Amino acid sequence: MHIAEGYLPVSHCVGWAVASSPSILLSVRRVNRIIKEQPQQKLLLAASGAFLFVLTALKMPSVTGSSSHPTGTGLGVRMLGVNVMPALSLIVLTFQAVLLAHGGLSTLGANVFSLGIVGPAVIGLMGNGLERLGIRWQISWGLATACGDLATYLTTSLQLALAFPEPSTGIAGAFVKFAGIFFVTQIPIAIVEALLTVAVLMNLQPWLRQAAHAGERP
Amino acid sequence: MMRVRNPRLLGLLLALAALPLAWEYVPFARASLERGADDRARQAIRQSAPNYQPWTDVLWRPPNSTAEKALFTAQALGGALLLYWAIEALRKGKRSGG
Repeated sequence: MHIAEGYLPVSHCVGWAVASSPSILLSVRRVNRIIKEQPQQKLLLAASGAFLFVLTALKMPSVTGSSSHPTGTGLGVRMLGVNVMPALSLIVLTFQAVLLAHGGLSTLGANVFSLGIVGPAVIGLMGNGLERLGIRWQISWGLATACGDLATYLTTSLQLALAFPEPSTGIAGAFVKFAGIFFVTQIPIAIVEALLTVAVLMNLQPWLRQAAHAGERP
Repeated sequence: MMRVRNPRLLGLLLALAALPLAWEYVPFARASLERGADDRARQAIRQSAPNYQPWTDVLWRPPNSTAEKALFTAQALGGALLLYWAIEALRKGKRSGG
């Protein structure tokens, strides 16, 4: 999620930027539409962005003796849909790259891809899918958020593995190595993130149904 | 300055934002924070690809770790305040039939 400045080869930086661009452009369009045509949803947008800001700033210790960040995209996905997250993620990641030297401008494409595209996609699919199965929304979206958090970091692991394959075991071996650094550490953090997200969603309960019926017009 | 309508919510959000600073005082947590997963990933890259040179660097870096923690806390704080404001604004709109 925060691949550091310069730590992805140029070709990979370009590749991930290209891969992210369509989603980012659509997302910017969606956010603009919300601001112009659905002003009541502006506050939900502010809440989603704010939540993302808070969670990506938190560095949490983990049981493995390491630490990492939660992702914070679950709120926005539930309130406004998957399509707003690439733009919001781009804003937060740019902010952190420039002002906190965390992540990077060269790695924005890759980091938006993991944080703003893959994570939210997993959250959206799982959250909606589980809810449709009749599972309570708190559990559906809590599980979905935790899985989205983990999916973001697995994506980062894959991005690093593609850039730095192991001499002997190749990309697969490198993926296992990087996932080993991120995955177990991330589990308790993902759980905390899920609890926080559901807690905030419960504060926004009157607007949950509204969000569900608003739907997504591209 | 607006009257704080929901001090409990605000308190919770501010406590959340203060976490980056609070962890410093918990021994196990502090050690863990110094061995962040991002740093370990960078180390792993340097080990498996020792010939790789980062081809660019950040434009600006916080001068010391205190400044860095302060900036992260400021980000969390700004987000927490915005989140609180947004939730309260939504509630106010609902009360007035919005």
